[in-house]
Amino acid sequence: MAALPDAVPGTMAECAELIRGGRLTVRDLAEHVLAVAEATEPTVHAYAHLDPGQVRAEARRADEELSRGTYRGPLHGMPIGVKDVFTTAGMPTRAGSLACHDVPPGDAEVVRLLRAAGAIIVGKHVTHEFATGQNVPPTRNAWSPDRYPGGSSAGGGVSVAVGSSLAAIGTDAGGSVRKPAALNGVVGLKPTLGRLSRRGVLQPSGSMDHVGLIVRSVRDLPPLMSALTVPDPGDDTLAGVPAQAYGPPSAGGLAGARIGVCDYFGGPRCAPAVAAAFEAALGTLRDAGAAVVPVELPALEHSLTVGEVILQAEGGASHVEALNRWGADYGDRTRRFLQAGALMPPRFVRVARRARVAIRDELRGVFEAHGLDALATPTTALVAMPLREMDIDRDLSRYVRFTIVANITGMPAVTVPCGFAEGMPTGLQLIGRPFDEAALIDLAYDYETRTRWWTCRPPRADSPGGP
Amino acid sequence: MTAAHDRAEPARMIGGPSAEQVAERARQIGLRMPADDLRAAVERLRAIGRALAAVPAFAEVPASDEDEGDRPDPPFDPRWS
Repeated sequence: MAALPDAVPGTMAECAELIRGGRLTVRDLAEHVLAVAEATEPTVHAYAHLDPGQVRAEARRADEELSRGTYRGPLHGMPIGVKDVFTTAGMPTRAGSLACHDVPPGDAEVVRLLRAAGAIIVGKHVTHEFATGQNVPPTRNAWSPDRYPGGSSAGGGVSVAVGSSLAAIGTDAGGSVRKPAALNGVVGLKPTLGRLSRRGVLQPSGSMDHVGLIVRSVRDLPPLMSALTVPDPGDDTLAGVPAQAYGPPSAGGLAGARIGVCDYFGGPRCAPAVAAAFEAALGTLRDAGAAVVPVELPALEHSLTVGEVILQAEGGASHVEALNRWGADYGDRTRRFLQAGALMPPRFVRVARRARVAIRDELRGVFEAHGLDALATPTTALVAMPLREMDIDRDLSRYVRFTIVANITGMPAVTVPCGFAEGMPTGLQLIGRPFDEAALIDLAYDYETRTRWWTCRPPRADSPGGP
Repeated sequence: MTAAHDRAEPARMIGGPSAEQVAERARQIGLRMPADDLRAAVERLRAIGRALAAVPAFAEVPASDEDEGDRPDPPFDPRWS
C-alpha cells in the first residue's frame, strides 16, 4: 500500500494531488481507508453499513477511468461516507431506526452528485434515530470512547476524525453537522438554507434542516461545494440559486475583516475551558488583522426555544403516518419527541415562526450596522462529556444552543478546530452572510492556516495522537 | 411576561394545552397513540408553553389563533433582500 503523506494525512486536497499526479492509486487510498476502518470500528462504531467489496470494486473502476485518461476532478476516487438518512443505491438506509420502512430506491441527489464527481461512497455513517438526537447510538467519540460523539451526524464526525473516510455528508437541523465536527476536532460546514438539495433525505425537519459537510481541512470544502451546489428541479425547497464553482480558499481572508462577538455566546453558558479556547481563537483572528467587534443581539435570548419548537413541530409533522403504522418500532424517546412535535399547538408554531423572522432581521441589522463579515462563537458551550454523565433532556439543548442560531436564520456557518478544553477538542464557529459560503470559507481557511489544531489526530492503538 | 399579561391570557395559553386539547389535536391530525404517550406529550407541550410564553412574539399572536388550525405560513426565506 502506498504511504499517505505524513504532513497532512487524510485531507482530500493532498490525496487528489497525488492521484492526479499518478503517485497514489484510488485502490491504495481505498485500502488505506478500509484498513483504518477495520482498526477503529470495533471502538468507535462510525459506520452503520460498510461493504469493503463494493468499495474495492468502485476504486478499481475509478482507477480504470484514470488509466483511460478520464479525470473527473478533485473528488475522483475520494472515499466519502454519507449519513444513514440519505437514500443510497446498493446500500441499506435505516436512519438509525427499526421504524424506517418503505425507503425509496436510488440515490439522494447529493449522493448522485458525489458519484458523478467521481467520489466513492464508502458506506453509511451512523445517525441518531431519524436524526433527532434522542437516543444513544453505538458511536463513540474519536478522542475518548467513553464520551459523547456529538450528533446527529455522529458517525460522520467520528469517521473523518479517525480517517475511515476523508469526508462525510450529514444533515444539520440544530447543529447536527457542526457539533460532531467540533467535538471530534474536525471541520464542519452548514451552508445556507436552500443551498444544497435535500431530495432523498429521509424525513428532514422542514425549514430547519440542511445538508452539511464534514472534512479534515477547510481546503476540502470548495471541491465538495462545487460538486453539490447544483440546481435541483426536484427539490422545491431550494432557493433557486445557480450552480457555483468554488475556487481554492484565498490566503489572508481575515485581514481587514470585521468579526462580531456577542455576550449571548459566553459567560455562564460556556464551560470555562471552552471560553478560554474561544478567547485564544479571537486573539488569533486579531493577530491576522481582523477587527473583533462586540455586538448586541437581544433576540437570541429566546432562540433556543424558538428553534426547538419549529424543529420539533416540523419533524413531528413528517412522521405522523409512520408513527401510526410503526410506532412501536421507534425508540421510546424518539417516538415521544416526534409525537409531541406533531401535536404542537398551531399557535406555538406561529409564535416561533414570527420570532424567527425577528431574529433573522435583528442579525441582518447588526451585520449591516457594523459591517460584519461573520459572527464568531464557540461552536458548543461544552466539550464532549462522558456518556455516563449525560442527561439528554438536560444536555442536548446545551449542546445546540450556539449552533441552532444558524438553523433559525438559515445563515451559513462553519466550525474549525480551535484547541482543546479538558483534553477534548473544541471548535470556533463562524456564521456568515446568506449565500456567501465562499467568503466564510476564506475566513475559516485563514484561521486554520494560523493554527495547528486541525493537524491533531485522535489517539489510536498504533499511534498516540493527541494535541 | 407581566402580571397584566398573565391575567389577559387564558391559563391554557401560559402553561401549554390541557390533556383534552392535546387529545383533540391528535384526533384532528389523525395521530393514534397510547395513553402513556399522550400524557408524556401533554407534559412536554406544557414545558414548551411555559418557555414560549417568555418570547415577545407570544403576546403578538392572538390566543384565538389556536383555534384556527393549521394555517400555512409563508416559507421562511433566509435572504436579506
